[in-house]
Amino acid sequence: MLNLAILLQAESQLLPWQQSMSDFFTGSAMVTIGTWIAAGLTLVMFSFIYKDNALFRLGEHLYLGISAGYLMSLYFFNNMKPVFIYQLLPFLDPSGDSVLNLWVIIPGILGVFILLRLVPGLGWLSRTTFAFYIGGFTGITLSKVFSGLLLPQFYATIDVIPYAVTSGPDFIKLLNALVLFVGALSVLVYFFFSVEHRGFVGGVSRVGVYSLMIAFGATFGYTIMARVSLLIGRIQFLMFDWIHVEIIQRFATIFRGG
Amino acid sequence: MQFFRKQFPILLAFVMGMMMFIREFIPAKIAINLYEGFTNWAIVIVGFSALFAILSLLHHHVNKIRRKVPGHGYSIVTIVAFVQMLILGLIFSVRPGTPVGWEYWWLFVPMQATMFATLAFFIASAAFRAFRARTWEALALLVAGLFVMIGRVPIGEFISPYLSDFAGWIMNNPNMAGLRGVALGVALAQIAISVRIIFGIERTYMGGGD
Amino acid sequence: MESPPKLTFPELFLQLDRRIIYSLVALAVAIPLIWPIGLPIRITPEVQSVFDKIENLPEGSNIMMSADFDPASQPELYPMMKSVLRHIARKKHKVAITVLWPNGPNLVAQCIEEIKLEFPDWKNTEDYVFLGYQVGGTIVIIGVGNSFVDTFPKDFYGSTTSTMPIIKDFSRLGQADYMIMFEAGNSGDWWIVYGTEVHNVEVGGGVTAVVAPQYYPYLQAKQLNGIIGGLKGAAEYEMLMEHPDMAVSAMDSQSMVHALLFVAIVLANLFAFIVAMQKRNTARREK
Repeated sequence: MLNLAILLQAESQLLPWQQSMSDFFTGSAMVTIGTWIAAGLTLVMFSFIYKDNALFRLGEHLYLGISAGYLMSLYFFNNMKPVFIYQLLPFLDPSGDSVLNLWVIIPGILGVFILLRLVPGLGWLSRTTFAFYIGGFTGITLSKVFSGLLLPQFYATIDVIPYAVTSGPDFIKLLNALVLFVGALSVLVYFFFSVEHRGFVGGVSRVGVYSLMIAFGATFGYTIMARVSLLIGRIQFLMFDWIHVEIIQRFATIFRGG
Repeated sequence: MQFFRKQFPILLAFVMGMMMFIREFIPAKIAINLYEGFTNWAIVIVGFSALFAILSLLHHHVNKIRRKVPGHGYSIVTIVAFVQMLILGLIFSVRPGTPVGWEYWWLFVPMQATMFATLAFFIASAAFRAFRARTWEALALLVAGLFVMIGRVPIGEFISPYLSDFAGWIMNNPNMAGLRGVALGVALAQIAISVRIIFGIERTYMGGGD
Repeated sequence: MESPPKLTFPELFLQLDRRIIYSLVALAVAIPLIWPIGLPIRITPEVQSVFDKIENLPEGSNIMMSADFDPASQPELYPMMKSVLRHIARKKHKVAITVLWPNGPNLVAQCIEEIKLEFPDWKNTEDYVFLGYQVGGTIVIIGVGNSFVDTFPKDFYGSTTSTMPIIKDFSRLGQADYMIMFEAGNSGDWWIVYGTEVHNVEVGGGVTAVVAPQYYPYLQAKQLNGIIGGLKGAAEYEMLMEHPDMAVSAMDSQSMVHALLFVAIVLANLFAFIVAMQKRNTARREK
């Protein structure tokens, strides 16, 4: 019962022993140990650049286990407890703010049907849950995608040229508007495979291909930026948080007489 | 029983789909209650599916250990890491300042961040070795990529502000046009698939089961 | 036995060992971190828009924030999230924070702790509420549009949301004066389609460079008011905040690697063209 109380207590009110634990784990000793462990794991994961090796595989599986354990704990505290357990058994909520809601039994049963996929012979029950959830969700999607994505984007494509023409004489603005209008519609023509891409349709389709190539080129340039940023982040950690390069820099400045 | 295995889910998907679509056009309290009720129930259901995903992962690794498949030692590492994380998480919670918070910051974050950081080396090597403009389309891709790559970082702005302006022009005009075409296509496809699911033509989401 | 034909410089260059490429990339990152160059950072209109919006909102405005990323995108999105949270705390706006990606909540919690060190008066449940992570993705966005309390009965720390002072005037997405989302994938599209378009809330996006191009259509259609794209965008925001931090210090390395790859790809294509022409000429002479 004591363990259950610890499991279900409101984490927001830290008890004295929890405050001590928090001070310990955020203290300099644990930060130093953590830094060395993190640096070691970083170098282990980087070893894959040389070649696949046992240490990297170990790190990979360790990462998987930690991730799954973290997710399970998070799911329990953020989803299972407040949204399901406390609504079914409100007396378990130490804050006393939860209200009984027996309707939650129905989605609970549907949820258990999903877990029954692991039991041979009962997996078919999960189809009911998927049908309920996916069916309902697609009903919402139909109207939302139409009003939130298709119409605004379509309107923005068509409105571009009249807006450029009416907002004052500006050759650049008109050129941009033409690029936007022709580029977007030509891509749609390219993806329309019910008509053979020959003649006029073929020509428009080729424009669409070039439009896509420029878009993918821009995406490629940005992807390089993203991956390099991630590398910089790790090297910054190794150099400044682990090796403390800034101390070496300061010594170098002193020796240079600067 | 065959009805509940095969026809009932398709019928349920149709009823739920039509109900949630039609309620969009009914300006009444019952429509709002239906919407909120479905959302609250869906959060509970999706929670169980997250639990199922984790249990499947464990099931896979436990099977590997049971059958003593080559490399099952790694599965033991996964299970041990999972169990200790779960026990510590359930007892002490997951916030910063707890054992799980410490492990998250000093074990999990470095490992995941580094896994993706190694991609920088691979993308650099791949770009150098394989990125060749052998056709006019590839040349268009290459030129756009190079201008964006150099124009959107400080060195490009330092070489010439026009480089930065041109990269900005590429992002806001031809790039935007191409990806808008893709976005419109995706939107149309989403609508088509939604209609197919509601009318029972598309059934792959239900999974195999038995 | 005949000795292998001598390779020309272009051919040698094209066969450069990948380990040399890896080493050059690593050096291009490390050297500017030790000896910074200090290249100036130009602010783009997309980032300026987001900054201006938060800057010009009346004090105490409601801001919705969603941090949808995990440690894989931390080097790009964490600096921009920290800058934006710093801005929000400085302007004394109210902020409700959600997370749609399961591996992300502790990153946000850590960021909040760091901002609290700079702004000790910034109070949980009064000035900000960290709702935490909820399973469901798009369903959570729909739920947040209905009610924070129904979707998040408890916040990340376990406090009951219904009794929080901040919830009195800010209990759902429609009551937000602005939204800022930090995205490493497609959840930004869901926020726009199922959230901000439905409830008529202006939204700005802080996105990783990988997905930044795909958000430009929303920018042009005015479904997004601005984009903070990648680490460069984070550096621009730090400059606008006059608080250079992690992102600004990384810009020189970013520039060097980009310049290295630019030169390498251009030379590789040039040499490939030269080698192809040489082979064609040789074949013609042999005919």
